[in-house]
Amino acid sequence: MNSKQLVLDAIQNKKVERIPWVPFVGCHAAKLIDVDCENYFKNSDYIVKGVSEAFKLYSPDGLPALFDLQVEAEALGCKLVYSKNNPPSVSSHVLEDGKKISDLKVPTEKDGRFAIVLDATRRICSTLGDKIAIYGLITGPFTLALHLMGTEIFYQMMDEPENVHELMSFCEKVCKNTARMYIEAGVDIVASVDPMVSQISPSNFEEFVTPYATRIFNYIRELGKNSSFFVCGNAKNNIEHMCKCNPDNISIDENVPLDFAKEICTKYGVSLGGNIKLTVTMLFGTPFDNINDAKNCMDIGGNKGFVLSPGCDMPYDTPIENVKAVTGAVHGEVSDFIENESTLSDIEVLLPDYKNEKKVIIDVITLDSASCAPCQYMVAAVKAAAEGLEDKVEWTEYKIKEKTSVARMLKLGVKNIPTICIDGEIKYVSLIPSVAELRNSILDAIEKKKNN
Amino acid sequence: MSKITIVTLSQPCSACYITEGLVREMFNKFKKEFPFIDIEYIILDNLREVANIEGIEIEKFPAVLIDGEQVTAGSVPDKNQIIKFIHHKL
Repeated sequence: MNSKQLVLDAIQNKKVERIPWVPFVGCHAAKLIDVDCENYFKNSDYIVKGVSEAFKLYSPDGLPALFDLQVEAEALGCKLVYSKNNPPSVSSHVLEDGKKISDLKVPTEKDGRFAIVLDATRRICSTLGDKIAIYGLITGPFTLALHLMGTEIFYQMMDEPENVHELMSFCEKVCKNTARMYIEAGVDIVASVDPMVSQISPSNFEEFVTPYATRIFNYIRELGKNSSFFVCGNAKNNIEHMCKCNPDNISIDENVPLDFAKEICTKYGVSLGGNIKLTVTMLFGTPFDNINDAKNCMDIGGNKGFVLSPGCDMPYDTPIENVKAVTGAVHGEVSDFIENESTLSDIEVLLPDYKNEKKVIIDVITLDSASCAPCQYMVAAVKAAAEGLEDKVEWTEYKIKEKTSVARMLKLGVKNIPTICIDGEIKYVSLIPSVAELRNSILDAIEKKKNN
Repeated sequence: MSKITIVTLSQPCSACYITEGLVREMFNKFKKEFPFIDIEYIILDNLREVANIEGIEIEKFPAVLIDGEQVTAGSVPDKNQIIKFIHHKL
């Protein structure tokens, strides 16, 4: 079964042979091709190049063509502020600037950046669409309404609900038209990305989102495509209402516990996606953290109706090795690493008698210095620090892709990678020491050995 | 005088980024209405920097603190509540 079919089957809540992996590469794709976000989001060549690069690097089963929740708002007249390392943000709301809802027109390919976005989507679908599932992301109706009206919408829900209904009705039309344009461009799945529904109560959701979102998902289904309802933020109280909107899939971030969402989705026959932690794990964590988080998500999600993905679009500077580590976990390349300790019981690893060895022994535990940048730097630091001390020091890299290395790591008590142990003692975890600092630690160990 | 501190991540996800924009907008309007309030923005490049900010209890962003007391985490504050808070502090 190819990658694309894996995603489509999982979205349709079917059992699959391997959990599909869909990294939400949005502005991070700009980083992959070394351009800033403003240039990326305004240039279809860059978008195609960035997504193609993500395909090459991360072996995904699906990818979004673009992750920009401001395209519709800009086409409707909202001003945007572009950034170097973030998606654009809305800086003015047309309905605050004197326009009425009746003045607004559903945008077409001629408006705003739609021509760029749709051109990129067509090219991505034609080059990658037979291999992986391509997602077309539309701004969900409530988030779009918030872009158009600003925070006043929260107060109008109470004071002038009919006005909010009129706006939501207009946003429904925009969503349907954008979904149709993406489908005609060739996408397999339309995701209605509505993060701001996490800001409203279940009763407001039911009144102001449910009718409009339900019709959008029904429309996507009528056009023969799959749908997903993306939310970010603490939407725990709205997950059930999201399922009732009848999407094929919902996708959540780390603010909603995956097991909680799984239970509700199972009840409604809706598939689920999520929810590797974006900031703590993907942006600031180590490859080890990413493997563990992905494995945990896959354990909970299971191989029926589950798509592994980050909680939302990945930040620009997400380390490439972190995403690759997730890919490794998905494809079983590092599965031993996170298996239960008991599965390693048949592996016999004898640690040296560090104290009585003639040489100082340095164990460098890595994912693989050939593919993981921090691991590479750590190995390079060891190599440089031990230079000229070959008669007194012996160092070895242990890649946790190998079972014996995992067993060694467990015996040493190492929990994170990359880690440097000197004579069996954990000395540096994740943070790469300077060559001078590491050399001093090695010299201390040599001195200690002399005194023994 | 009340001091309002808005803490954000330098690279948030799209949802947090939208929320952050709305929070900034809201407080820019407050600043016009209540010129005596002091608004400080802290942008975190790394989560470890949270430890240096007094009053942060929930590490969800944008976080809003008024006089060192966290009032929201990852959500758009209710402007009426914020106004009450400001009046209360007067």
